[in-house]
Amino acid sequence: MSSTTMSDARPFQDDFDALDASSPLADLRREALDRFHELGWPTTRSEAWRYTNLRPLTASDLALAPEATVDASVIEPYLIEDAQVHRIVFVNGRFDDGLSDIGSLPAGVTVGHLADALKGNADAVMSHLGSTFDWKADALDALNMAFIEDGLYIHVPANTQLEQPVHVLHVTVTDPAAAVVTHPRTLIVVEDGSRATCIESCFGTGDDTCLVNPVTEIIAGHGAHVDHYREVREGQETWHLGTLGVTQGNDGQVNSCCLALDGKVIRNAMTGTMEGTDAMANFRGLAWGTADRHIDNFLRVNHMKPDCNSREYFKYILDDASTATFTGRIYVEQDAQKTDAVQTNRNLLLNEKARVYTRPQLEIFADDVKCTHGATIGRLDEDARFYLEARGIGREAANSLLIFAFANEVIEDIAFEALRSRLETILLDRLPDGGMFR
Amino acid sequence: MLSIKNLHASVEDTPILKGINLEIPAGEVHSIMGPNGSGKSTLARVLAGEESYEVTDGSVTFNGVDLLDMDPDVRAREGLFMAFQYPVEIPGVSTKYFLRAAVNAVREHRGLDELDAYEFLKEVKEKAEVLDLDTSLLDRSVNEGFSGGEKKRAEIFQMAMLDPSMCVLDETDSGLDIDALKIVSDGVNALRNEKRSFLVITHYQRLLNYIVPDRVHVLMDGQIVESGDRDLGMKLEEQGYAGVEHPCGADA
Repeated sequence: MSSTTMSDARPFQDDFDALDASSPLADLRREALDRFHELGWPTTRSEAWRYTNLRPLTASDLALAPEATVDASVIEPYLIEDAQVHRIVFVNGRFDDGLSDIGSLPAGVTVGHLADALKGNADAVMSHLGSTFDWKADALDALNMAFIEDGLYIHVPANTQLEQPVHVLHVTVTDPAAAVVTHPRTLIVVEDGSRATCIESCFGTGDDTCLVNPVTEIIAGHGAHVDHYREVREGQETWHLGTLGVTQGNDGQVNSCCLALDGKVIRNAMTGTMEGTDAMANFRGLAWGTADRHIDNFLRVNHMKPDCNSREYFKYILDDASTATFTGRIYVEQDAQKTDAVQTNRNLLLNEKARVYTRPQLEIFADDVKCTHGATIGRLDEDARFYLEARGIGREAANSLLIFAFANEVIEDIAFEALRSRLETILLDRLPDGGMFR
Repeated sequence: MLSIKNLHASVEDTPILKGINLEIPAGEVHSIMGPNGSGKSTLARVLAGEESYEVTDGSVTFNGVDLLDMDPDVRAREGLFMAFQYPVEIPGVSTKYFLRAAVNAVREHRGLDELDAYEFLKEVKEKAEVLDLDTSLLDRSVNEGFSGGEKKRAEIFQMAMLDPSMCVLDETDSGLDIDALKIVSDGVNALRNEKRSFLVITHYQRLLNYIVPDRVHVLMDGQIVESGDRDLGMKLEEQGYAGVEHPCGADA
């Protein structure tokens, strides 16, 4: 491992040179690293990063996280209890066979790691990598692309139901001596008429400064149904700067939910593109801000064809001196008549020092569409609190219940019951007297 | 049970209650009637402990203890229950979880064991039956999307679950059709016993045909201007509040 700073002529060049140059990805990776150097780290002068300042991160010595292993006890708290899943574990971005338990899969289905898939069918895999959003537009996306070595690859062939969810655990082994960087990569291809569920859990082994730079792409065919969750439970000094790209064909449905629970800075840059007609996209998010955490959802939903529905529903709970930003752009192509798009960002401010910046943006070129956006910023409802108190519930517990209720509107519709109940437990455990309501 | 003496209360510096005196012995049902704006709901909310109402004078003792000194949750745990005129909708909070937490908070305060999920549901079933309450409502968020009748029935159901000794019903009849009124009244009557007292606040005498009070008090401009038995309610229905002498001599 070598260390890299902004003062070096070519940041990450040494790390890059150590990668396998014979990989089918070698050219793409080189192009991506060049692109990263061309763009440089994003600054708050760019629109996409206006409210998220990376300087404190980029000022530190950053280096690609080395190969590492962790004990089973490290992943244990993050396993989903009482549920059968295909489990796949990546430590510092690399597949960990020993901790994974993929189990048996329906015929034709792949749940494996990219490095493997590239050996078998490099062209098919590569045709999808970076296809769901403009990776060249953002330095961090380019950087992820430059360092793709491994990652999760899910492929569900046409008319196939993957009944059990895939649970992928991205573990970052933090290092007190160096700020490590990981670039988790996930590619989910669900062909026509098929169905899959994937849960990503991102967490670290410690509270040392590090950068987790994950990119997930979902390619959903005609009539495909994909449920996707990303649970961000990183260390307290982790910069989790994630990207999600989604494309979908006709008639299908994609649901994705980002749960920003722990980390220093948590960004979710998402691009959802509805390339077909009659499709439904449901993007949700819950963010919990404490201490000086910063949360950034930067979303773009593209309606390219008629008769699609999209829903964006993002809720923030902001305590202490946490800050958050929400940017939601809905783009409607001229051809995308009868688009029905709704965007909502609701914020619960629990402390006078907490701040939120919310920016809805509509870009509409069709004339027969329904696009609405709404943002609210509020405090706990005193009438509701009094009602609870008048039933014998103490002030602090009543506050907790109302905060939980606010959050629960995002998670109560989670179809995967074991995950929903786990999230409920996580939320209630964080709230004073929350245990009363379990 | 409940002893109110010279109670004065204001909202945002506007005096609403101007010296209320009322004694409600154990096991009695008292009704407060009065026109809009007379202070009926203010009285209910002051008793329940809502912060935006400021008590400027007087005292309220509940089972010999200073009620006004207690936080609202402590009042509830001590056995005071107010059925809200407008039950608050709380999206995202399951009625079942909320109610179990409330029941157990009250039980703990009274030195009783917590109800486990099974015991709680058994209790729920029994009490819901009396009120003809569809228990699937309990899987929904608190009061969310309930009809007016369902909300009021749910209030009385909560009352039954929390087993209070002093029940304050704040215009529980408002917004109810005659069938719902009967169900709610039956629910209340089923809870009447020699230890439990009720303060039934209403605009209309109609409710008192179903929940027959021991005493009726007329509240006007923040004071009780007349007290009597059940017949007083009938008289009000015939003559309206104009038939009651106004304490300040003004022609109401």
